[in-house]
Amino acid sequence: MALPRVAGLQECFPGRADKIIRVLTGGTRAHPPDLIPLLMKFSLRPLLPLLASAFTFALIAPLATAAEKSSAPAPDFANEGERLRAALAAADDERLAATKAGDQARLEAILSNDLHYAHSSGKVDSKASLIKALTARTSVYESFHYQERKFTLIGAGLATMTGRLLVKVGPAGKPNELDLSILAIWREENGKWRFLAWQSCKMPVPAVAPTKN
Amino acid sequence: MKSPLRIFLPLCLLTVASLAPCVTAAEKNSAPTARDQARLIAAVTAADDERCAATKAGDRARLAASYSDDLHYAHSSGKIDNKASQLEGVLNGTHVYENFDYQDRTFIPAGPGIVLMKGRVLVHMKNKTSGEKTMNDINYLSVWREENGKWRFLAWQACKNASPAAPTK
Repeated sequence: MALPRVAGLQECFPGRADKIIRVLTGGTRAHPPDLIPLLMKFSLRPLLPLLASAFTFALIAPLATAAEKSSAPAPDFANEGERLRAALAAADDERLAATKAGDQARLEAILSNDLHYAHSSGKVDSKASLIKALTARTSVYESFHYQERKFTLIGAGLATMTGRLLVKVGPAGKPNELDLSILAIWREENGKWRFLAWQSCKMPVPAVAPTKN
Repeated sequence: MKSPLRIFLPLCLLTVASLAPCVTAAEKNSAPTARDQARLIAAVTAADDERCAATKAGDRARLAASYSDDLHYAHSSGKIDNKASQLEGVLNGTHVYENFDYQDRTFIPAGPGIVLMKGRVLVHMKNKTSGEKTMNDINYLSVWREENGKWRFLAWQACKNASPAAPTK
């Protein structure tokens, strides 16, 4: 083309060489090509290192910030601990209420799609099979009473729930009372705490005298 | 005159070279690949094998290295141990652990630095004084956490299965 001296630039940036030259020279379309070497020589040459860095950085910066955005920032547990534990307790209360009610929509919302639910009987449920049993009322949960419920933040967006729970459960009208040791895992999914895993185990003897309700 | 491009282009390359590590480091934190996943599960499997071996050997140093300081260990008997009491139970309890026969051991990466382990294991034990052998068939849920680059055993809940396991294979 008309710019033999910047052939290298045209090879590296095909189709964009003209624009780059205009930017470098601070010029407009009106600059005749002959002026470019002159301008480079007298006005821009000392600035070239700076320009080259700025130009390249401008190209790369959007990539870097996009990549950084996708990595989750680590939460500040010291400050956030109380707020998170309150949110977890609310989520677990909602899980128990939805379980007692056998409410499909509320169960779908609170249970993680990856749920692993291992009963003290040895039965292991997925999300689908647990919701089916609860909504069909083949197993009816009448009451839950925590003797102990402890939330421990174990990582970004992950918490364990440990403790001991008295449960009345069984076919409708014929509940058994279970005294359970529990380990559960909660995970934050899209800003919402969801129930991910559960393993319970019957305690050998009732911990307390049967409760009134 | 030498073209200014001889300066310009190398400087561009230099800038790319100096910034490239930042970009790749940031990308590493997102989207793990299938290969990362396989490597992760291999690492936690090795950590659990080491835990089982250290338990059988009754090796305090190896167990202490395997257990997180925050260990919550809930036995199928209802007993709940922390790290100190669990070490004591394994080392000076009434039984020795002779074998862990996993019927199912599934690892589930749950988030950054956390892997769940769940399944079913036949635990073979021997009474230290009488020599009597017993076997517990248990379901379990457990949590592994990466602490300073090392996978450590953080939580465990076991539950005995009602009937003996059907013979496998």
